[in-house]
Amino acid sequence: MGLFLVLKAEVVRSLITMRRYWLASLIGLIIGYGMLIALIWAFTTGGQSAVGEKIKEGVTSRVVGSASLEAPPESSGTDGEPVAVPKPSESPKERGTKIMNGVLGLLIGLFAFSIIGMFSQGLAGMAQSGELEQLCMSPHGLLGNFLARSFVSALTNILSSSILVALVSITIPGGALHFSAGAIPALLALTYVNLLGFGFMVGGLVLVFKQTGQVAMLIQIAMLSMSIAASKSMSEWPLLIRIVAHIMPMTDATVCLKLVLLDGVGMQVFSYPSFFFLLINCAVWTSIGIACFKFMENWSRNKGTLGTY
Amino acid sequence: MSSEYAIHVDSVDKVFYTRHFFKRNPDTNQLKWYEKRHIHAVDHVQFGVRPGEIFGLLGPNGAGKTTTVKMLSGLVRPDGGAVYIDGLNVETRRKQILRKIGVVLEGTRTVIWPLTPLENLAYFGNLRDVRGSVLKKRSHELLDFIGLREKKDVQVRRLSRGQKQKLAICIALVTDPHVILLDEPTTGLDVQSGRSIKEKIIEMTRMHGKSVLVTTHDMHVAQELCDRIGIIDRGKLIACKTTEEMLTLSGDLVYEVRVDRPLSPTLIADIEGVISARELPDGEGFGCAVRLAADDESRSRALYGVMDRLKANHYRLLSIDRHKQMLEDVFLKLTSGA
Repeated sequence: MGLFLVLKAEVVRSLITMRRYWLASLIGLIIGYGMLIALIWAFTTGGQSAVGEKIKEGVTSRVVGSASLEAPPESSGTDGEPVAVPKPSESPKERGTKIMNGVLGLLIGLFAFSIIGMFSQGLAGMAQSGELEQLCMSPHGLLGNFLARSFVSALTNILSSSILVALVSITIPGGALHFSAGAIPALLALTYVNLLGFGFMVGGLVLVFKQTGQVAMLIQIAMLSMSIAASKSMSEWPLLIRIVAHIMPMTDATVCLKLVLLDGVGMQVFSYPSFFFLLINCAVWTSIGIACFKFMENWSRNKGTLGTY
Repeated sequence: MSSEYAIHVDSVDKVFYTRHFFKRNPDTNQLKWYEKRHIHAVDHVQFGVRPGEIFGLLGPNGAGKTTTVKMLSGLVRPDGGAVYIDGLNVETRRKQILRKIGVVLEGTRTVIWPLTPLENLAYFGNLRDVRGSVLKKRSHELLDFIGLREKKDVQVRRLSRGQKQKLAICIALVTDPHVILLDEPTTGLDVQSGRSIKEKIIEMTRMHGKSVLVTTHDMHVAQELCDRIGIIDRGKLIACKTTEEMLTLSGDLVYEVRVDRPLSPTLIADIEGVISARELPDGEGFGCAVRLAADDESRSRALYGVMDRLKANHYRLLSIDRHKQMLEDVFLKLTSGA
């Protein structure tokens, strides 16, 4: 009941803040959409110019971008010998899927970025302002309060990301997504739990050492990059990189989400190896994260660093 | 355990360590690649606050006041000794105790600025397990009590510093705690806000029977507010008495002797029982401020001696007033040996 009250307090606080600063929320969404479209545009036009160069060189190549949509040129030489021509390797649907793969990776990465950011930069800011001590004096402790806070933050993040994904998939031809009512909520919940565990570990380090901003930023960027790169073709990666990718909390979650949303595997995702890696990651990171946070909180109380920065 | 006290600090000890890399010793000019220093923030401090009492903890900067308050609120763990609230050990029964205490720590960022005072109370009330109609009723009562009723729907960022501090006190009271810990509640406030907060603290103690521990630099606030005072310096509690008893610790008594024409302090400085004499500041008339020994016998002899000397030198004596004892004098004397 107590934790429910904390959750309610956080939901109400977020709603009030969103309502009070609705213009900022709306502008944030518009800017996010605009940036995504700009990125996609840059991605596609970059692909087009690359193809143009290769056509000039007369090399058959795989192309990415709008050039592949054009009809293939007539391919006979003066002496009737065939000449090398660009082979259109992707249909609009494939191209749209590829773009949505990048967009999804980016948004899932940004989701991870914001959750980890809440535990690193957010916690450091709270230590500076004195809010951290207030939360620590709540009978539910820092762990309960951060659980509620991160849950609400994840919900709002998922909501805004879903709007962006929906808008982009409507805008991009062939970018339609598959939705599975059973698989998506389960995968999102596991992704959140996974990130939460990792976030608690980072948060614990921030409680004691404070000046961890740069390290946390590196971790966030690594997770963002991994989310964009992660795909079912991970099995072809070198062994060492594959191990690192599986250890990182976002990789398998992203692969599973992409399998459902892009490939439409639906509930079958639960039989993929990535899903098992995700489950193991969840259990391991959550246990390590919570234990680490509790240990570091006690250490911080011993050192008296809760309210300092 | 210690049921006489609502707050009992039992021989509490806390040492903080700092680590320094590549630090040059200013005396020897020697460079050390690593040095670990320790600061004895609280050194076996012991005191108690009875139910319905206002206890003031005074001390210079870095004396250990805030560390003591943080140990009482469970934010810092003591290295030795124990802290009890309502007879319960803060370390072992922390969750239970956090429902019994209200804490206002230094600074104004302990409230959430984008929310209104009413929303802040609802938020922090929920975090502390207060809900529903009880929370609603108590929030309105507290805002009325502290004088923020008109500001209840104004965002905190638009409130003055004094109003934010009042709101912080309301938040501390939202659980209706028996014990209230106030760390520097009047620092940085104007005279009116400081006085208003002081009056509210007195009201909630006298009328609602709460026990209050207040740390402050403001000696006037402490003198008017506190039933008992503890003075802490470099982590050690060097005095702990009722306010009246504390005032007698200054030892010497100062009298202001006013006469009809300029009076040189040397004329009366050699009289038996007179410790020192100095001219009154400009604009306060002619005369001297005379410091006399505290014991009755010497003081009586000194006062008669001063009057005789003035009479012998044909001075017209206008008045002799005893200078009001100030806590500041006692504080300075105890903390710096002045």
